[in-house]
Amino acid sequence: MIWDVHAHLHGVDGRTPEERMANIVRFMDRMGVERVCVSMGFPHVMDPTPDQLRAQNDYALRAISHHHDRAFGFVYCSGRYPTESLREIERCVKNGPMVGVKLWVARLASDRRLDAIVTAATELKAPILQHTWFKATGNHPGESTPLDLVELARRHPTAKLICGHSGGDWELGFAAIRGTPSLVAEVSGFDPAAGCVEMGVRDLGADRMLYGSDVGGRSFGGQLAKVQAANIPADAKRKILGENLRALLRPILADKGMKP
Amino acid sequence: MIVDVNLAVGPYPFRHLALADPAAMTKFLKDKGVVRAWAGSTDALLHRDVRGVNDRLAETCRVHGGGVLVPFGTVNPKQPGWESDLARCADVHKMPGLRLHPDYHNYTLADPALPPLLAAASAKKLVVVIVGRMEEERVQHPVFHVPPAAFAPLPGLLQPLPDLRVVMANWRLDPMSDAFAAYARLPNLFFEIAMIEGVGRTARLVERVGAGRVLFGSHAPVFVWESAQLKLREAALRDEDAAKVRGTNATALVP
Repeated sequence: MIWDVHAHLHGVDGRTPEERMANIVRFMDRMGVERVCVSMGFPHVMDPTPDQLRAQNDYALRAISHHHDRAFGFVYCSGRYPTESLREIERCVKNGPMVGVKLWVARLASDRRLDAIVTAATELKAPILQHTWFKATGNHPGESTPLDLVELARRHPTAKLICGHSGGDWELGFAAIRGTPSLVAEVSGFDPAAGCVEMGVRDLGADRMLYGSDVGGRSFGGQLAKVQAANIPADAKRKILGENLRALLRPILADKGMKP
Repeated sequence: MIVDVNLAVGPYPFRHLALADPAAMTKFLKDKGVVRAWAGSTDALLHRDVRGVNDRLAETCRVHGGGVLVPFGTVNPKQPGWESDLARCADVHKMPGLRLHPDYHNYTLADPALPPLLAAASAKKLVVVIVGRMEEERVQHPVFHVPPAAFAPLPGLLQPLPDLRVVMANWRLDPMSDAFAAYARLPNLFFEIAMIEGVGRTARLVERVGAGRVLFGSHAPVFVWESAQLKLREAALRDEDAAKVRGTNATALVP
């Protein structure tokens, strides 16, 4: 069972969200991926206005609308617009089909303007996927490092926070979050460096690791290889490839009457 | 049958790698069905005694390579004596090709030092693998910021050398872009797949340049070897095209 926590419609062939999603599903079938979590629209907007947030989420909603058996939606929110983001959570998660929250680079995860978003998501049992990187070339002004996420996790110890890309520079990322047990890491979006998943399992334990691809900017194949070829026990691979994500989503899926 | 055209042996300066040991690498490759692997040396990145690096690489492949590891020596056109380094690779070690590291050796492909090297390689019938980068810039060690090689000058370099076979390794260009046309139209330019990313992108590359010019490359041991294997699965090529990419093309270049 493979569940992918991190996918986008950008970088995928297709003229419409429906066509792009159908293409993703075609590749999922080929690679044995059962479920995928989709967020944001096309093209990506790094610091969206409230109207753009809504449009991005509409795009994702259209994409998943014919694939509820294969695709989950994560609502795109922004710490720059917490009030409007709360409205999007209500529209897309509380009253809609989405099951998680996506935060990208509009504001740092440590910014207190994110508190209301995290509180609302936590009340709905929705996990929050926060993009993180430690970039040697320098982060964008609103681009979080895993240390920013640690700060957020300390303020919200019951929130289901996911450290996107494991910080990209995963050796630093795992080290940054290993002392914060409420944080889980997903391994999408960076090159398939040998040893990355092994280090994650050593530092965090397999229960705190999730597979993700960051499709369409990345391939399923290159990203799956990190986990499938890792020198870790078979049960650890099963957890990372899908069981952990299913367990993370199970409460909100149950509340929504959706099949886990 | 798989031929891996993008591999290195030896310790990596920035990370422990389980397959850095040549004997372990050879066993791993054999288990995966790899019959040949064009192997460079990780020492070639930073060592300045290039002759010593290449001598040790040849010996390592002979002793530990099990008939799988094929040494590809490195030559740095910015260092004095590169001509004899190249000749030694070809004439003494009987290497079939070279690996160039313009990123770590601090030159661009527009550098006037490069055309004489390529001409010499062509005269010796050596395949030239140009490695664009070892790791992406965002995750490099903070005191080793090594800009990737820009391949833009390459089509111009190859036009006067129609018999030289060049492989672009660890490159990041969009094969569907207009800019890629300059690369696509050169029949003596080949493309390995280790750093191609994007869903279905390997299939797109094959569509653009034809299956006869795409090569299996893993960038192991720095990358997970299976990444290239799974990207080929994702590409879902026709059987005859997949066979070309996995090994037939590389075998035609280096029998």
